[in-house]
Amino acid sequence: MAQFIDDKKRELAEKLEQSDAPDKLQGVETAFRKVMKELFAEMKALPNEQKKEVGAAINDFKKDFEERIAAAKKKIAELSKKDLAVDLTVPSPEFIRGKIHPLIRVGRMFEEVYKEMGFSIAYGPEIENDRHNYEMLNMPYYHPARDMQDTFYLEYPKVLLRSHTSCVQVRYMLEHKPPFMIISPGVVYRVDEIDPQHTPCFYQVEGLVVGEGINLANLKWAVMESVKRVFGPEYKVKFSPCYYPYTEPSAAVDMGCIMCGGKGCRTCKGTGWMRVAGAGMVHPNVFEAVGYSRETVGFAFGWGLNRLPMLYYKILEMRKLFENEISLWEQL
Amino acid sequence: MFKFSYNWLKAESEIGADYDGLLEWLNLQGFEIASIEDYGDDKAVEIEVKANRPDMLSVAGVLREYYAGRGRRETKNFTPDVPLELTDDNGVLSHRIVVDSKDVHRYCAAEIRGVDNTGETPEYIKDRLMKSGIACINPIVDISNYVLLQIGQPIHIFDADKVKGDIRIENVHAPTKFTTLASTEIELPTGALLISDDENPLCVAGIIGGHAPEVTAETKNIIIESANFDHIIERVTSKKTHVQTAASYRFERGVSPATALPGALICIKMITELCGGEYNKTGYMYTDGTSAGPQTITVTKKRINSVLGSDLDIPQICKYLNDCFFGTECDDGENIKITVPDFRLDIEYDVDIIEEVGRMYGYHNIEPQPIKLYAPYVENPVNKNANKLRDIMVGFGFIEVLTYGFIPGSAMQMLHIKEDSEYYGDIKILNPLNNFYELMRPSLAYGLISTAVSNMSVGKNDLRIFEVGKRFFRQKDHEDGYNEKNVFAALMTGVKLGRGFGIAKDAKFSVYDAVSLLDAIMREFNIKYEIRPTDGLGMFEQGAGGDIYVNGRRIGYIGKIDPKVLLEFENGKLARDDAAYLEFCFEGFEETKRSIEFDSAYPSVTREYNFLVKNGLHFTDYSPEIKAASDIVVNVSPRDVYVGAGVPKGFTSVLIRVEYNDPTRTLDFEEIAQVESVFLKALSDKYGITIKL
Ligand SMILES: [Zn+2]
Repeated sequence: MAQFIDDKKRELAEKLEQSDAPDKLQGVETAFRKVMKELFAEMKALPNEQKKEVGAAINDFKKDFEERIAAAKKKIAELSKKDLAVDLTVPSPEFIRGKIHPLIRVGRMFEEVYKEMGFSIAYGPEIENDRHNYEMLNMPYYHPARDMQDTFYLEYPKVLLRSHTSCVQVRYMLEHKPPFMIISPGVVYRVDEIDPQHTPCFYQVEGLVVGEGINLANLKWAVMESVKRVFGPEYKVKFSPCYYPYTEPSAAVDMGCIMCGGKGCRTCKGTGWMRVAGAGMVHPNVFEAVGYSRETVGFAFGWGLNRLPMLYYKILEMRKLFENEISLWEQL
Repeated sequence: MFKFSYNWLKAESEIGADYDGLLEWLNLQGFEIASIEDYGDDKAVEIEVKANRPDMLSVAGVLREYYAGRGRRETKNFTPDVPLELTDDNGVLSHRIVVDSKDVHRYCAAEIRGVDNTGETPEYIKDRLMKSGIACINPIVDISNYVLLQIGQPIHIFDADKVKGDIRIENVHAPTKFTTLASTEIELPTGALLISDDENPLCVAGIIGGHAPEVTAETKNIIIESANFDHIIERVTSKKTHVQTAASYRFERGVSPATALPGALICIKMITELCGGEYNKTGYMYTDGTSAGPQTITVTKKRINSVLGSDLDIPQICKYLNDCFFGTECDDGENIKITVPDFRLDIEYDVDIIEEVGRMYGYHNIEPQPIKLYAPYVENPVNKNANKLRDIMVGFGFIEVLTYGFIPGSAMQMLHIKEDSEYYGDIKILNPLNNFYELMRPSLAYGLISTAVSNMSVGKNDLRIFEVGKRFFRQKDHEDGYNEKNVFAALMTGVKLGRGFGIAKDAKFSVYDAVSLLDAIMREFNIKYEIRPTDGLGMFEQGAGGDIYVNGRRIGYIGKIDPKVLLEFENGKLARDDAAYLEFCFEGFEETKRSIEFDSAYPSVTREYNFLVKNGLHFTDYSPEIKAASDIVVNVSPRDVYVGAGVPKGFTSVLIRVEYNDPTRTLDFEEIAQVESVFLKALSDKYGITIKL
């Protein structure tokens, strides 16, 4: 009897070994059931004293082989799954989204943040005149601060390309009465030879808030809050005294250098900081020029938007922003 | 900018100096450190000085600021104890001095006779001048420069023996030629302050000297000029003549009239000590009476705190102001009467005082406060439309580019845009960087085409790009004669659908895709538009360009860029495929509300017809005939256009899909055949359009 069981075991094991498809396995399983039936039938015919020993052997065989069939089934199922599967790691080129220019992207982030704070968006022309760009901003023709903004002229000295978007604020104030909160994003032009860090035009987002009770602490909040919301709370912002003819008091806004984390590097000229904005309380002379009372209060700020995508996307060269190498923008 | 030797500052200081402490304080006060040159035992520190603080353009000024940070409330007195009687009698010196201009606020002149200028300038002076970037000439000239750096007072010294007759200071009445010490000829604008003797111009006051009265090694007798000239005329003259000197830089920003006398006295002391000679114990002093005496400003505590958003009390405010040498008086706990030190020419208004309080308190100590102001939100439709266009284009796989607003002077010829075209640009910049950036763009086409070809030069031939920006044009009745509009432009070229994944052959962009793009955009805005054949925008290939109209007004153009135009561009020969372009002004686009029409409960029947259409006919013109045939025609859409084998010359094969539906019943085929025969006849009769067999 034991010999017979061993023979059957070997026979079935061989068959199982060769079963590489579900139908073959099915055959083995049927054969196995049949053998089991035979064995149990034969066991019944044995004398009682042998029954126990043989019965245990048959049960061992049954248990062992059932496990082996289950394992074989699992293996085959897995194999067949692979046979049928498509490679889902291959995308077709069907769906490709376009990209918004990094300057505009960062600009829109700021626009969104300021809109959430209640600012409206104001636009103005890029071809401007001396009155809006300089004179009404407390920069008469002899003002040395004009050196800071070397200007392109269409007709000297009257018609020019705006050197900042502050002229949009002037236009807005000429047409509106406080209170208001506006930002004026847009292109500005300055005579700057093109090199890695300079381009003759760049983007600014300027802000102007005029209304009762507005103070320098509000300005600091508006600027710091926008950096926090756009760049994240971990960014350091520094306010220091500065000078602009159209604001008093004036402040310079620096952000911790992203390249070196504030330790000092080439990008930040070793200071650990990058100048990103100028700001201040609007000068009473400006309010007077637009027909407001000198007691009016308000603040203004201006982000040099070229710096911000540099910080945000680690674009090391400013001029790259206007070279439009499509393969770079595709990475955005 | 002001560059100085740190050791010099330290030597002048009465309280010692701490290098790191100095730099930290300067930084905190907004005087950025622009550069530091290391000389081993000394450093040359260059600080950025903004236009409002010319008082910082001297060692004395930086020292004052250092004292302010240390709370030493007394500034150093640089005036030496040199007895000099002053008179307004202009005949007191060897030459009469005639001041004849309202632009002279002070003119102090002193004379030394019998100097020996042949020696060497002392090392310490040479060293300090060199570290400030000033070249050494001879002892007397070096001393005049030394005084300028030390107290910020420009000094000019004449060789008295070379002056012929009177020294006369007056404004020129017409443009006047002048040859400078550097032997360059400049033209002084009308109004410039010129100093002359009876025969020659001597120098441009406060700006630059000439050869005539030049001090040399042989000079024996000198007249020292320590004057104060008006900042406006100094600025205008310096700008117009493109001459900027250490003296003019200070005068145009403002020099305190209070340093005119000390400047002369320091010169007398140093020159007589180093070069010998006897000075005339009487000096000449002209004063125009203006800008005399310290200025006072009254500011309230409330105003200071309300501008800064702070809560400072009177003792704090007074401490900060006293620390930077302002006098304060407050009797009522509210009104502070402030005396401005004579070197602070920038302090004019209460806000200037508030800034001083703010910087001394420290901007970093101002606690941010959320804005509590209600201002109505006003929507900006141009901004909204621009962003909507960007979002649409991103969905279509286009990449946004930004190009400069100015383009080459030759761009109009390159784009084949003729002078009589509305899109011809001739607005030029007077002072362009170079001729690549001299014309204000009348269209975004130059920027997009040059972006496309430059990308082709790095192997990128399949492109879909767009830009949102301004176009500029002349308009007589608009302010200053110019106007500008926000426009949108897109360019597509190369493969739009690559072979593979069921596509047998690369499909490439054609002008029809530009039309499809325009159509999709206009549908998003729910705006009806028309394309009419262009009246000759040379940029497009003959017969493949059109103008875009909305409400009968031309808003832009669309077409296939003429390959000859592409060849005008550097690398343009790399363009192998059609380039389609469209541009339109989106100002005034307003999205109207739409309602959705629900589908009919009965099934539609769709039929396709392949028509043979004579070239020059427009789908938008003849397709309404199909719709007009019956109400059951609910949709007519073009599916393909084809020119080539099997299509006679002068014709295009157009595949059109027509959808039939009746919301009240199921249609039968006979009825459809009936409608078909109606529009087929109409198309044939009116347009000569037949079914292609
Ligand atoms: Zn860095």
